[in-house]
Amino acid sequence: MPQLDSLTGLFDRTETISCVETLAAAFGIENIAIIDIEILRFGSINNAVGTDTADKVIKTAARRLLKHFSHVPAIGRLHGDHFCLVFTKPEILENEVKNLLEFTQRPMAIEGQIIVLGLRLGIAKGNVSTSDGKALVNHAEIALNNAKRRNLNIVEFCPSMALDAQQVHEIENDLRVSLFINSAELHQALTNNEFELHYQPIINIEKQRIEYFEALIRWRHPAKGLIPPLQFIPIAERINIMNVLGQFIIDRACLDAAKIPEAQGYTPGISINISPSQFQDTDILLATLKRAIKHAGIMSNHIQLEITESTEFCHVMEDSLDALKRLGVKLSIDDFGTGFSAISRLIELPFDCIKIDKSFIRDLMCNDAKTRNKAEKMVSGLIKIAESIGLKTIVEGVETKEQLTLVKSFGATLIQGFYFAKPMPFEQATSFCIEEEIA
Amino acid sequence: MNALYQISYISRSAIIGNHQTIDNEIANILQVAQSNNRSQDITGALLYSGGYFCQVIEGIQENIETLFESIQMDARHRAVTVLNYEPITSRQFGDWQMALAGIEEPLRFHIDGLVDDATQIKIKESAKDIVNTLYKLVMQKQQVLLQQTAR
Repeated sequence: MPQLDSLTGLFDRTETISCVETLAAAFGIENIAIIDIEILRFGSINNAVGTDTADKVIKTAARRLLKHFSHVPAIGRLHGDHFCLVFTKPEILENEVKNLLEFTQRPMAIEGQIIVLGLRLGIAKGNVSTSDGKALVNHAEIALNNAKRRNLNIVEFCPSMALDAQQVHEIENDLRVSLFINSAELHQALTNNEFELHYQPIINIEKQRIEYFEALIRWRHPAKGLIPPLQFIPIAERINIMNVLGQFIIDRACLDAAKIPEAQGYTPGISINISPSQFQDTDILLATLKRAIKHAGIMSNHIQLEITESTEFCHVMEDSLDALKRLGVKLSIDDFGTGFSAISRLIELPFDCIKIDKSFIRDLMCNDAKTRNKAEKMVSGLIKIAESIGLKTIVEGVETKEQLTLVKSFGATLIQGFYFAKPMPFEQATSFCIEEEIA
Repeated sequence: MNALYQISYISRSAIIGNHQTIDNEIANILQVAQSNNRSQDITGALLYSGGYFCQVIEGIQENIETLFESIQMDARHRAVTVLNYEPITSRQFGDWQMALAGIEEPLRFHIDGLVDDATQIKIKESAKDIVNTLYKLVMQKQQVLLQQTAR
């Protein structure tokens, strides 16, 4: 008994391959051709109409194949939305393809709606170097995958595609294995409390107080020790868990903000970095912030969000910034000077502060006079422009007394950097004695 | 599944041959349709004009979908464009299993333009016009037949 696909009654994959092998033995493999057929965007159809109706689409497509290709020796459903036609007269394939596209792509009336299918085809013709029937089916599948990658509708197999397919497979496989391990570890780490926030003070040298503590994530990996954010944040972004991680940071930072003691009549706020992917989904970000601020019982103006300048501030983002601003939080552009922001755009956007990128502060001490001169003009110019349009400036990356003296002479008042303090655990940060350091 | 639906479509004719061949094929289509539609409680109308078929079918959803699929399997036409498929409260062609609206009747709508620019809005606007035109053509034919019978 032939093995049939239970939904359509067509040959299943095993039976199709077996049939190709039988035909190859009878007619010679060079007289066999295969068309591998994929229904385009079937996943979307499935999501839109539901599984039952999608099954009817598959059945209808199968019936059309049976009706119009009753002359071919084998019609199979290889899997899901993939069908296969096996021909013993490769010379008339062009006509067969025309027929296939004409009849299968005609509208279907199913469950009160019209569904029109699109097809992608991978074609393979047997020749003396084709090892067997299974290889021929595989060649058609490779051609189909090649069509998919090149965004074409019909592609015929050629031997170089097999090598390409192998290389692509290896790269993808390595990536998947690596991402799977990292993603699993990240999820586990969240539930195991392996993430912690360290805080680096942002000091107001004019008022001699800590203005903000910048919250910086650290991953205390059980085997690998402390992993810096640069190693895992890009992975978190890539595997779409930045929202989960971002939510943890916001929740924890707000709870910590509530515990910051008042000093000299002022309670420092907390500055939180917002990743580009978090910023793209402002609804989630807003909801997370609202909930965390309410839960911690703090004033929203105690929270400053640092949004990286490399995130392009398009008009859609302007709405998001306005929504965040309405929430009452302060907004700061992080790494300013490295991205694409035009000064003229700054005036239009609801930012409170710019944070000058640390690369400029590093260049202030550069041995090359030209670089040093350029950095001095850049830092002093940015501080003046920001002040003139009502924005505060944070100078980060200040590591030496010389840098501090220089940026003070440019008019900088908010300073952050190793000169004052490295990022440290919350308790240590809040007991940090500012007077000693400034003195 | 028992809801009443109407579907209308236009398609290019794939019938090869002279007027006589076309007339014979259409007579054949009508005969088979009228015979099958009676048992399935399907009503509608067919027009052949300028190398196009235009057909309206009405009936309960399940029967409509089965019939429409068998029409899609038919090699006598190609390039099928569905104009409308929607639930209706009453049949417009209730008196006819499959009325012939005409063969080579002068067109009162611009099919070429519709097919070439098959945007949803244009199709939706045109579907009503086309179904109504078919209805008028069927009614005119009925009048002529009645007058001939009266003589």
